[in-house]
Amino acid sequence: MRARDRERVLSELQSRVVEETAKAGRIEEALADAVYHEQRRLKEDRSKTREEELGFWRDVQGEMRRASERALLDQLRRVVARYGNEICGQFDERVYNSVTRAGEPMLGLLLNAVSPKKILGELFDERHLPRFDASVVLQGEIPLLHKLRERGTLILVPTHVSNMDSIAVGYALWKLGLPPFLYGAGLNLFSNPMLGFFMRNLGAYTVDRRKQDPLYKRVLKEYCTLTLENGYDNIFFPGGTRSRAGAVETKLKLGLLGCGLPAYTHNLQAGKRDKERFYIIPATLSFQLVLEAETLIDDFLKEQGKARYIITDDEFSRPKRVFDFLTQLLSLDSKIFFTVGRPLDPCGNAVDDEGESLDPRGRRIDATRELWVDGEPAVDEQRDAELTREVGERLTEAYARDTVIQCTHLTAHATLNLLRKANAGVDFVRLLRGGGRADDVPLRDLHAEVRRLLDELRGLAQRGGVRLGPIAIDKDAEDVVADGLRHFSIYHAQPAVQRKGDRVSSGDRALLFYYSNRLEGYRLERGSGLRSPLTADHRALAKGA
Amino acid sequence: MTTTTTPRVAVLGAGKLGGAVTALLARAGARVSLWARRPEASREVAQQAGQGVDVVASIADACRGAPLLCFAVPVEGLREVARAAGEVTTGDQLALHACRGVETGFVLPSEVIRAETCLKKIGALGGPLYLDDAAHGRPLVAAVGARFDDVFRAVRALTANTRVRAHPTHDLIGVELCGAISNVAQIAAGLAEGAGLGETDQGTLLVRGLAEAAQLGAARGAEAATFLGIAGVGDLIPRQVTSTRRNRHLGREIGQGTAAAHAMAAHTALEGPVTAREARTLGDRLGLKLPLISAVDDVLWRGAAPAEALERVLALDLSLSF
Repeated sequence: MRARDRERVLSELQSRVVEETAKAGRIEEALADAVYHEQRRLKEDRSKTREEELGFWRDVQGEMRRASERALLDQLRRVVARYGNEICGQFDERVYNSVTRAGEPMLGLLLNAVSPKKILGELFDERHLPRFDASVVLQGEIPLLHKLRERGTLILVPTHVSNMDSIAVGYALWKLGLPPFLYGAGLNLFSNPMLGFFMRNLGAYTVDRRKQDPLYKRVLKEYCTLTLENGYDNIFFPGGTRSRAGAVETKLKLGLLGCGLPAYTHNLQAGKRDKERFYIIPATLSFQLVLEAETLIDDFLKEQGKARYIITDDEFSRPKRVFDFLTQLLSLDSKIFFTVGRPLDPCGNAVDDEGESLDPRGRRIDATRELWVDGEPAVDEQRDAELTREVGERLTEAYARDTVIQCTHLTAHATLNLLRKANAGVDFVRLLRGGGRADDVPLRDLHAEVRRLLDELRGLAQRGGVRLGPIAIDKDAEDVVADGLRHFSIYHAQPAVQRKGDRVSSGDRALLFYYSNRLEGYRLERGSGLRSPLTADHRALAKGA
Repeated sequence: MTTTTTPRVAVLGAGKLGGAVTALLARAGARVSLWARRPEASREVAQQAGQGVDVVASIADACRGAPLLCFAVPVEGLREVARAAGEVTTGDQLALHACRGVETGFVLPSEVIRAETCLKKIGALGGPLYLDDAAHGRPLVAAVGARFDDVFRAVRALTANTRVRAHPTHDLIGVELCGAISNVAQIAAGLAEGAGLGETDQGTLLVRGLAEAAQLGAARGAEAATFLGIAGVGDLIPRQVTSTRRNRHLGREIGQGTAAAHAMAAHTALEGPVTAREARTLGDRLGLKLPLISAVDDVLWRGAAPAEALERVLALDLSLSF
């Protein structure tokens, strides 16, 4: 957030949240909740700021005991301001400008920022930096994205597979010549001082998912709302956390996306209508390999309830791993696809090439009227939640259409299908844990299965139902499998699929399942005679299923 | 004849339902813009309803500026009417319908309105909705299924001075499915009656119909509770519901020996037969077991003998789950 807006936004944030809490007669309750949740969180906390934080909350608690109505209000202001400051952080336009002027090496710089030691030796030596220009493919509705940027505020909603996403999206936006978007990043990503510094200055604000205090969530939501009202483009990762199973998101956690409608309505009420339209832009990211695949699928397969909501010790926190991952991936001429989908208005309606809202029959409509109450724009929580839910449905459809299927996904899906058939009758979870007599399958069969999948997917792609990567789109099954095997051989400790002579097997079936899942939801199982493992009982393995 | 004042409610259709809704709204003091395909039908309704009813010449005239649109047409005519309405609708308008059926492809009425207009705040009326009761000044009970609370507020405001009791639920799809499948179940009960089966068997068939509706509902994201509430069970108990009664008659005639094709040709605009066919197709696609719906489809569309088709259903285990 720009310095000139920061104070104003934080002060507006404070007065909105405090007024609302006071109006609901919940000041004391809100404070008591905050103290309770924060002290409980800090019991487990091992960070350097623990003592200072505990001191703050003890102080608030002390003040509450002897407090008058007025003093309670002061404490509430204090807590809200503290949360607001923590979330907003500091943004220095000068840092942003210098980083973006550095041009192409910026991302390499960012990645190297993960490792402060590395940065000293290799900072400005481009030979050591991963080259992204040839690897990241930008496609889809890019001209429209530029046009709508001129017309209003953008809410970019990408799929979330990996922590690499925020870096890839940041790179894509820079490459497109767009100014930085604001986005919420988990506090754990800020723990590295260098990375944190850059992320903050590239538009990241802090989201501390460990904070259970309802007031904190309220402040976070209001902060997002205010940034949108002030015309800041935002990125929301709606999956909330990274897709654990490796499948395309089908049930979105909408959280911060819900800020769009109140913000838009506030602007309409303030008469900003034509200057400040809002657009929701779906986008997908597709990698051949996923940095944290092993950790994510491992978490998914844990018994229900034991899965972790926040993973702090995954591959992303190991700098060498990130660096190796990227250099290896890019050495294979692997493509990372950033696909911009058809934009929506904040109510979930499609828009035409001029950014005007359309009804389902393609007639132009005035979508702002959906936000009317008694002839005027007004916020209505129930209505907004419902409209946002519909936006979520439109986004999942867009994700399914704009996902780019690559060779690793096809190779894994086909191999898993064959292993399941060869071990018919073996429980799926047992199979994933290495059970079943048949350990490998003929390469010939793998080619045939990939061919079958390609036939179905190419038909679907022609009808606009999915996208295919460069080899999958027009090469033979043999080429697809060769590329898939090549990728699997370079990064993971045990390859998801490996070839021995004329047979293939899996070195890590959980990983095989993870990559295979990218093809879930496209009804490809019908032709194989198998049931989708994710729609049967095993879906219950997923947390929150 | 168009009106110069802003109409508060547009009623599209002047059949039995459209007539009853218009009369009810007029009595409640609302201003109604009434459109029907046959102008004489709307004039007749307007005359009976008394003041407050404007007969208009086009769907656009009825809908323009009306905060609430009531689609009082059978599902087979809904798309055409909705499409015409869609030329003038705005996103702040609300819609209500009382269709009890589906379109080919198992498209629900609310989905038809969504596809043809910019309207999103759509409510479905379900439950007993026994219009003859209302005509005699007795309470009229209905379920209103809608995803948006605006619809409930509008219905509450309009019925505040009436004896209409509208029970709100967010389960729009559930209410629509209850209504649609109850017509199929009533055809089955009519078939049983016509074929000489007893009251017990008819009751069994109706309950099975509800359970099969709930199965379809689960597949489409409806809530089980809706099928056990006023829109489901509440609709079954008073059997003289206006729309289901006609479906029951159809079943009875066929059960008594009239050829299905002949009977269906005589009962036009009935929603049950198409719903049976489409529900069966959907069930087959989703791998659901819907023996009652399939039996009705077999009798109506595939030449099966009523008594045998029903006996097969009645012989099945009745441990139903919702």
